[in-house]
Amino acid sequence: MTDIVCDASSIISLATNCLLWLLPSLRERMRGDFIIPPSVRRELIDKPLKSTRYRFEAIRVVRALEQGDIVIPEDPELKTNVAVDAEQLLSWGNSIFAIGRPRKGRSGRYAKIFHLGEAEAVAMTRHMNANVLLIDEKTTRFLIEDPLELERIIERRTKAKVYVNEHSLQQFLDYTKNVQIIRSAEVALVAYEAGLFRAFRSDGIDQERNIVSGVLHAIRNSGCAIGSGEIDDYVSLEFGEVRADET
Amino acid sequence: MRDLSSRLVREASRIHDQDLISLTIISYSLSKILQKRYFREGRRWPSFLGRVMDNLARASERLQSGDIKGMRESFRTVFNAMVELDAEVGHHVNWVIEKAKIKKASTLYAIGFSIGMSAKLTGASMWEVMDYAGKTKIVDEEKVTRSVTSRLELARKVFRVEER
Repeated sequence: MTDIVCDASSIISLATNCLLWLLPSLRERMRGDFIIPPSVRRELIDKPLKSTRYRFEAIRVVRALEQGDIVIPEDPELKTNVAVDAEQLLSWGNSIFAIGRPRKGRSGRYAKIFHLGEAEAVAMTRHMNANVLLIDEKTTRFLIEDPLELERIIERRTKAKVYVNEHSLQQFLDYTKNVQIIRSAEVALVAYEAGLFRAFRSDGIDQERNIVSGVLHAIRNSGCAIGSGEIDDYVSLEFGEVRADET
Repeated sequence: MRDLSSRLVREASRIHDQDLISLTIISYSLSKILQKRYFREGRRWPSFLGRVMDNLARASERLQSGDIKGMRESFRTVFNAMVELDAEVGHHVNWVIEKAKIKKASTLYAIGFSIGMSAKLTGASMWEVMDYAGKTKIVDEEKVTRSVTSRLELARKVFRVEER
C-alpha cells in the first residue's frame, strides 16, 4: 500500500482544472490514499468558500473529501506528532537563508520562506510512512531537492548576498532525505498513460498529443511549477518531437 | 510609485517585515489608482488625496516615534480610503488592492518564498497567487532539479503504470 501526501498547491491545480475525478482510479492503482494535512483545509476550503472567486473549486474539494478521494487523517496522536515535527521543520526551514549578513542574536535576518501548511505536508510523509509528496509549488521542492539552487535564486532576485546556515540546512535535509516529489503534472501524465483520458479521444489525427500537451499546459497555467521545456520533454517522451505550435 | 513598490518588496523580503509589505501593497495600489483619470477627476478625489497624504505622513511620524500600532492604524486608514473611493467611483478599487496583494505575493514567490508564505505575508488567496504565478515565466527561469524521466518513472512506479 502506498499513500501520497499532498500539499494545498497540488490540490489547487487539480481542482482548478476539474481533474479531481482522476483520484479515485489512481487510488485504486496505488492501493493507497491521497492525504492532506489538517491545516491545509483552511486554505483549500474555508477561505475560498468565503469569497465568490474560487467557491465552486472549493466545493469540488469538499466533494472529493466526502467521497474519500482525499483524506484528512483524524488520529489525534498523528496530528500531535505532525504538529510537533512541522514546528521543527519550520524552525529549520526558516533559518537556512539569511539575505544579507546575519547579525549575532538577530534571527530575524533569516528569510522566513517556509509555511506551516507545507511543513505539515512534509512532516506527514514521515508519520504516514509515505515517501511521496505531491506538491506543485517550487520553493519546498527546491528546499528538499536542491537548496543551493534556491540560494542562487534568492541572490539573483534580491540582488543581495545570501548566507546559508549549514546546520539548519543539514537538519532539514536529514529529515527530508527520503522524501520524493511529484507534481500534479506527473499525476495527469500517468493518468493519461493509464487510459483515464480515453473519453476525450476523437478521430482527430493529433488528438492524443493535444490531450497531453493541453492538460500539462493547463496545469502549469494554474500554478504548477513545471517549466515549458519540461512540458515539451514530456510531450516528446510520449509522441516524439515537439511541434512549433506546442511551445 | 511602481518602482518604489518593487524596491520595497525586495527590501521586505530581506528583512521579513509585514509592515513594509503593507506599504508595498499601498504603493502599488496607489500607482494603479493614479493612472486612472476617472479616479482623479471624481468628486471625492481631493478629499481622498488629502486623507491618504495625511495618513502616510502620520504613519511616518508614528514610525519615527516608535508608535508601530499607530503606524498600522494609519495604514489601515489609507486602505479604507481606497476602498471608500470605490463607493463613489464604482470602478472596483477593492480589486486594485486585491490585485496588488496577488502581484506582490507572486514577486515574493519568485524571490524564493513558498506559495503559502507569500500568500500569508500579503493576505492574498493562495488560489489567486497560483493562478497569477502560473501565467508568468518564473519557473522557466529556474533550473530543473530532477529530470522529467526520473520524475515520470517515480510516478509510474507509485501508480503502477507500465511504460508505454
